Amino acid sequence: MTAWMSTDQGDLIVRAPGRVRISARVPVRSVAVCAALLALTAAVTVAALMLGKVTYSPAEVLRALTGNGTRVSELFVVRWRLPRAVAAVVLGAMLGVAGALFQCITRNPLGSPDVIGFTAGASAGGVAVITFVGSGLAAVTGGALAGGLVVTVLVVLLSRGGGTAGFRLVIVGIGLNAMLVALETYLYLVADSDISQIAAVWGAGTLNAVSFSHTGPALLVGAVATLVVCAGLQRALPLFDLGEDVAAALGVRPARLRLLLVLGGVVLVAVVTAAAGPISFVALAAPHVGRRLAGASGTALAPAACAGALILASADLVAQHAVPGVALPVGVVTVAVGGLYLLTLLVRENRKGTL
Amino acid sequence: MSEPTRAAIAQDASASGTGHDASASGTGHAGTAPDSAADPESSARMPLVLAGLALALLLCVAASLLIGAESIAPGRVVDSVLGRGDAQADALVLDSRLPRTVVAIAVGTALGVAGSLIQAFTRNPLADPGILGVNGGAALGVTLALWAGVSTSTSALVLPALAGALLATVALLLLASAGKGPATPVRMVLAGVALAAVLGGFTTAIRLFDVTTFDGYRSWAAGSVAGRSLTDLAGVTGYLVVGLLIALTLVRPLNAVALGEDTAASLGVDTRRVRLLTIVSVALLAGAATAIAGPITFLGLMVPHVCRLLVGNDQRRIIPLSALAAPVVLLASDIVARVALPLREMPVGVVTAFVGAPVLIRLISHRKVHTQ
Repeated sequence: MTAWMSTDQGDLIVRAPGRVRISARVPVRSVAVCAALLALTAAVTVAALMLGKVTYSPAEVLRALTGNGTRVSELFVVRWRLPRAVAAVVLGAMLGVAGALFQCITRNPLGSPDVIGFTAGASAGGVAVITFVGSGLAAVTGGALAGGLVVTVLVVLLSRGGGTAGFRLVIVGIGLNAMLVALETYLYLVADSDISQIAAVWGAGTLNAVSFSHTGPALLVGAVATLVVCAGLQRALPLFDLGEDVAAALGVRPARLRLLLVLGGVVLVAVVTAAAGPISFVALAAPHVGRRLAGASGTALAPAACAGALILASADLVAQHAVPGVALPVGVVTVAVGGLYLLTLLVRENRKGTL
Repeated sequence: MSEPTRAAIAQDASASGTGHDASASGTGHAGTAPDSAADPESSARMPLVLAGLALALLLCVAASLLIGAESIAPGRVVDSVLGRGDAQADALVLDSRLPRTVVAIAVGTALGVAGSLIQAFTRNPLADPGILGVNGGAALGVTLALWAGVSTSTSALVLPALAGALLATVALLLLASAGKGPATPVRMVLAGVALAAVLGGFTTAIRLFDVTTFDGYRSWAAGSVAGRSLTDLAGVTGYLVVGLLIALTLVRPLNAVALGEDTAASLGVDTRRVRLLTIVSVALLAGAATAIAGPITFLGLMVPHVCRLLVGNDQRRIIPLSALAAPVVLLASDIVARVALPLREMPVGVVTAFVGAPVLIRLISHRKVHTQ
C-alpha cells in the first residue's frame, strides 16, 4: 500500500503508514497557490516596511524587526510602519474570507458585502457615530455593526421572493446603497468642518490611523476569527455549495451552517470596517481571484484569504506612495481598482452570455 | 413574434408611412408593452394629466416662494414679486427664493428629460443618469476643474461637467454592449454602478489630497439648488436649450426604437444617428444640470415611470410630461429639504435619493424588470 496517491483532480491523498487509519486529502494546486500568494504578500509587506520618508534596505528592515537595528530604524520600521503593514494583511485576509462567505450564502458571485449594502450600512452607522458620539473604536464598531446588520436585514427582506441568487438582491442593494450615500452626505454637511473631514476620511476607508495600541485588539480578534472560520468550515462548505437539500442529505445541518456563515461574515466585515472604515471591493474580488487561481469549483476560503491579504497590502502600498507627499485612504484605491475589476467581470460574464 | 408586437409594428409602420401628416393625437403607438400602448383611455387622459401637472407646478412655485427658513407674510411675498416690496422681503424672495425656484425648474426639466431619453433608448426601466454614472462623470469633470484651479462659478464648471458626462455616457454604452446579446437592464445597471464607483473613487482621491477642492466640492456636490443665482443658470442655459431641442427631434424615432433596434432600422429609422443624438442630448442635459446643482440621483429614474403609469408608453407623451413632472418633484423635494429640519437645510439630492431609491427597489421587487 502506498502512502501517496493522486486523484484525478490533481489532489494528493496522504495515508499514514502501517495500520493507523488516518488519511488526508491535500489539494496540491490550492496549497501551491496559497503559498505563492503569501510569498507575494510577504514581498509587498517588506516593501511597505522599506519605503517612506526614510528608505531602508531589506537587511536593515530585518535587523530592525529582530531588534538589532538602530533606534531610529526601529522607530520607523517597527513602531510606525509595521502596524500598518500587518493591518493591511490581516484585514485583507478577513475581507477575502468574509466575501467568500457572503457569496456562498447568497449563491451569487456578486453577493459580496459591498454590493448587497452591508458595507454601506456599516459605513453610514460609523459616520453617524463619529458625527454624534465620538471616534472611539468601541463606539464606531458598535455603530458599524448595527448599521450593517440593519441594512443586510432590509436587503434580504426586500429581495424576498426573488431569492438571493438572482439579481434582485444586487439591485435592491444598489438602491439602499444610494440612500445610505445620501445619508452620509447629509451627515458630513451637518457636522462641523473638522469632524466632517475626520468622518470623510474614515468613510473612505484608511489605514493611516492604525496602531497596535488602538487597532491591535481588533487585529488579533480578526486574525483568530479568520483562522477559526477557515478551519471550521473547510469541510462543510463544499457540501453546502451543492445546495441545501444535498447538503442535508450528506449530514450537514443547513440552517445551522447558514447561521454560522452569516455570523462569521458579518463579524469579520464589521471588525474590518470599525478598524479601518469601509474598504470596498476587496471582499468582492478576492474570492474570485483566489478561486480562479486555485482552480476550485466552489467556495475556497484559504485562497480567498491569501488573495485578500495580497490585494489590500498592495492597494495600501499604492495608496501611500502613488501621490508623493499624500497618504491617500486605501479605500479610494480599492474602489477605483475594484470598480474596474467589476467592469471586467461583467464584460467577461457577458461574453459567456451568463448575465 | 407575438401577436400584439406584430400589431404594434403594423400600426407604427402605417404611422411613419403617413409621415408628418400623422396626427399628433396619437395613432401610432409603440412601446415596450404594446397592449397598453394602444389604450384609448390613456390618450383621453392626456389633457387632464397635463392640466393637473401644470396646476401642481404652479402650486409648487408658489409654495417655493412662500416657504423657507425665514417666515415672511404671503402678502409681502406677493408685493415683492409685483415689484413693490420692502428691502427685506426683496432680498429674501427675489434674491434667494426666486432664483432657486427657477434653477430647480431648469434642473428638474433637464434631468427628467435625460432620464426618459436614456430609458427609452436603452429600453431599460432602471436607467437613470445618476445610477448609470453620467452624473458621476460630470462630478469628476468638475472636481478635476476645481483641482486645476478653475473658479467655482457655474459658467467655468459647465464645460468640464459636460465633457465628463459625455465620456461617461459613451463608456457606459460601450461597456454594456460588449459581449453577447443585447445589454439587459441588469447588466447595464451593474456596469453603470461599477463605472460610478471608479469615477467616484477618483473624485474622492482628488478632493482628499486638496483641501481647497474638498471645500469647494463639499458645498457643490451635495446636490443642491440653494444659493444658486440666475447668473449661474445663465451659464448653462444654452446647453440646456440645445439638449432639449435635440430631445424633441428624438421623440418619434425613440418610439420605433422601443420595438428593438433591428425593427426600428427596418422602419426607416437611422439608429446610429438616434444613438449619437441621444448620447449628446443626455450628456448636455445631465452635464449642465450637474454643473449647476451637483449630482442629483433618481429624479430621472422615477419621473418617467410615473408618467408612463399616467399616459402609457408613447414617448411623444412621456418625454414632454417628464419635462413638466420632474420640476414638480424637484421643487417639492426642495421645499421638504428646506423645512425638514429646524435651523438647517438638507440638500435636495438627499431628498430625491430617499424618495427615488425605494422606487428602484419597488420596480425590481415587482418583477417589472426582466432580470435574466
